[in-house]
Amino acid sequence: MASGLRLFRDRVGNQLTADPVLDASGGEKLMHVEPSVVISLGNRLVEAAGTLYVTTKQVVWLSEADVNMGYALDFLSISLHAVSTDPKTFAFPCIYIQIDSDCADESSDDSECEDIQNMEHTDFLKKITELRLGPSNPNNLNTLFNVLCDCAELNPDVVPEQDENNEWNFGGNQMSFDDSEWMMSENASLPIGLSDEQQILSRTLQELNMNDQRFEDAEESENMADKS
Amino acid sequence: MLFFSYFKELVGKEVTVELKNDLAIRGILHSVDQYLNIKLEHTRVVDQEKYPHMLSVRNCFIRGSVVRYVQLPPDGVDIDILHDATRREARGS
Repeated sequence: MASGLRLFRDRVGNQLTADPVLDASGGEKLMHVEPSVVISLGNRLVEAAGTLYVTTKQVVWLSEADVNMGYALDFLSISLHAVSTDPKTFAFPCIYIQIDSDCADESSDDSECEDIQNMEHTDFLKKITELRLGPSNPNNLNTLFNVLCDCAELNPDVVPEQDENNEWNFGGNQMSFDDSEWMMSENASLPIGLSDEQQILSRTLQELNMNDQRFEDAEESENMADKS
Repeated sequence: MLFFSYFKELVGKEVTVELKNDLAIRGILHSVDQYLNIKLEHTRVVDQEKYPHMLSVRNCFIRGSVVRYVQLPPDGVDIDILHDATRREARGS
């Protein structure tokens, strides 16, 4: 799912200016290119600037100094992104990104990552939870922010099939609660507030041409609604 | 779609979005989409001492799936409308 930050070396050709190889067959498209972007992984600033590629699926940064250096981050792994302009935390106005990685919750103990200076260490990359991208032209920050918003919206989480009936999934990845949870709250509210609710909602309920008993059971109410 | 419809009504109001990683961000709700991705403006982090690097963030985009809670403004909660909306949702209409 959330794979976190990863290495990216697949360029179209061997030149420093070469674009990243995209998953064209999977429908991946390049949406924005931003040259001369400095990147910081966690708190570690990468020395050389790179070109930032925002695609419909991921954010790719390719070094402009080392053809073998590059990083990529799926939109599915981006928890939030924001415009940040605090010289105390980062020398440049930047896009601040929080990364949701499956490995991020594991021990972030630095001692576990002995090769901490090695930015190519895959485990090290997976544990990075913050990323900063500073374009050399800070006027482009808002454009970049909006492109990231647009592309993030193209990448909703895959919602698991709701075939398990009474799955309690508060705090899970589901975007909406299934009917059974609403039913529960309905049932809980009926015994105490029935008459009041009838008054308050009578007009609405007339519109709906139904009565309260039908709320007592979801499947029943659906069946009856179908019949009526 | 109930949450989406509801949150759209809250655009322009101040909400506090608590993420699953405990970060809580207060701000004006700028927009929300069908996946409950949330865009906030004029943000400030609730626990500024713990997240000093977030101080300068004034607007942000939060992925819907990382949100744990959204704290609502009291005047944004109309119980009658919510009752009605939840019933409609339960009927699948």
